[in-house]
Amino acid sequence: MNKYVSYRLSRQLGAFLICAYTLMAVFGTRPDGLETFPFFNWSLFSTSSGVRSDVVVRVHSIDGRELSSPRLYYDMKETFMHARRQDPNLFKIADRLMIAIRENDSAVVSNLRGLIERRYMAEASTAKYDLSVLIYNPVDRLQTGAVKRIMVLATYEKAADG
Amino acid sequence: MDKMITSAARRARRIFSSNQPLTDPVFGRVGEQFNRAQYFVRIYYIVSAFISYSLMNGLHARVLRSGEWDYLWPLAWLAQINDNSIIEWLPVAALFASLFAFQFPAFRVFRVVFAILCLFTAAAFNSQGSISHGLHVWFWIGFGLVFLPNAPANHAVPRTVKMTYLSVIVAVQALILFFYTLAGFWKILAGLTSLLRGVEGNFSPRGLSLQLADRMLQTGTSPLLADVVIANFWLSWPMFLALIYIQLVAVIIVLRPRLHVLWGYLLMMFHLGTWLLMEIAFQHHILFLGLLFVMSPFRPRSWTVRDAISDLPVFGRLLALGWRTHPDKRVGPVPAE
Repeated sequence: MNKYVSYRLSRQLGAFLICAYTLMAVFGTRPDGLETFPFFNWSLFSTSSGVRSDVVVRVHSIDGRELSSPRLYYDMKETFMHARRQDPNLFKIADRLMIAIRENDSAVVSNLRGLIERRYMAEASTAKYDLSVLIYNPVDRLQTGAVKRIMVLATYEKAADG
Repeated sequence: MDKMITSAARRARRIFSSNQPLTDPVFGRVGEQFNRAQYFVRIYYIVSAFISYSLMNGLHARVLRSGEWDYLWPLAWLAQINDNSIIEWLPVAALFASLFAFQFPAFRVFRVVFAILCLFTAAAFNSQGSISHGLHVWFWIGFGLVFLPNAPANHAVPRTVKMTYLSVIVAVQALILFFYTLAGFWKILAGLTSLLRGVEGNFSPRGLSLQLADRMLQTGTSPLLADVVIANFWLSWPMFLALIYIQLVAVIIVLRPRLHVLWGYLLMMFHLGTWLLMEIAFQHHILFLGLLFVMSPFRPRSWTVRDAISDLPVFGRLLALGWRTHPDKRVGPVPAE
């Protein structure tokens, strides 16, 4: 290629890369909402808000012993190994369970319940727990534990043979 | 069409470039920038050899530990072969390719092979159900360098080739800075949305505190400085607004060489902040910001603080009005006349 043409093209390379990248990263999101590697829109922790919601698992009783008040699964580090490890997969499972409950998909609900009870509550032979949505102000909840509202989506029991 | 694009590009360059010309001699400058750019390219490839080497152990452990692979599209061909051990050889191959590209910088073929293997290696690290973003910049620099013209060592390189070479480096710098601009753009968008809704958001005094607290609640982490920042949100508020500005205008900085070094350091400080406040580390970004901007081939040999301030996007000229400097009070050696 003529050296001058090559130079003129290279002058536009930055603009071309930026436009092509923007098309793929911002407008080229897959139908399932996931990014198309190696394009990424770099929206990391973009939104802060005084009102956040979180889908959580709360435990009411273990092995027939009633707790004085329902406790968040991740706070029960003395009981559950996955709570000690802060295993992030339970977050994702709880989110998926909420969607399955809303869509009335009993097969997925049953499957995810099984996963929670066998894998994440393996230390308990029986347990009563619920899936709830917490509405909170992050700073208030971190400093005082205050939660604005709790919406219970479903209550389940892990049976002794479960 | 070509004329239209060229004229639009010129206009954009005129708008976003500094209105204070550099004082380095024009002809000598291209030669010096070209030499620096060649060093940058070679350092990138030797650094890539280091990164490839440092990834080997992690990928080996992943292959041994887990049979669950959800291959991203660059590695879809591996699903046909059904042999995960090939994954372990990807960083090894990337290491060899980077060493060849380092040793033979005039041959594009090695840069192309490296870019492909770099893509495969980064894809392998992200083929277990979720994508992290620590290796993206590594790949995109390698991809951009594929466009470099062949500039043989120990030969007189024509000026047009030098200019082409430098234009490609500018393009790579622009793309990397654009990533930060995107990050800033989303923060601005979310902040404006919150303002319109009348709720706390990115522009509120507690904006950063809310973000940090939510992260700590979700991950159970205790970052070194998070508690201090959450408790003293009147201190963190201006820091967060400054960060949004630094990110949003980042791509403009590519056309203002006096600010390359400063923005390199500022963005490094941003990554230090994400670690101290959120325990999120982008190690490779520190390295590449250093190489691309702190050691930018386009950094001027001499500059004044006033000129640098007036180069700040959006409100630089306003700030510079209140800054009195003797025109000869320059930082760095004064160029020979």
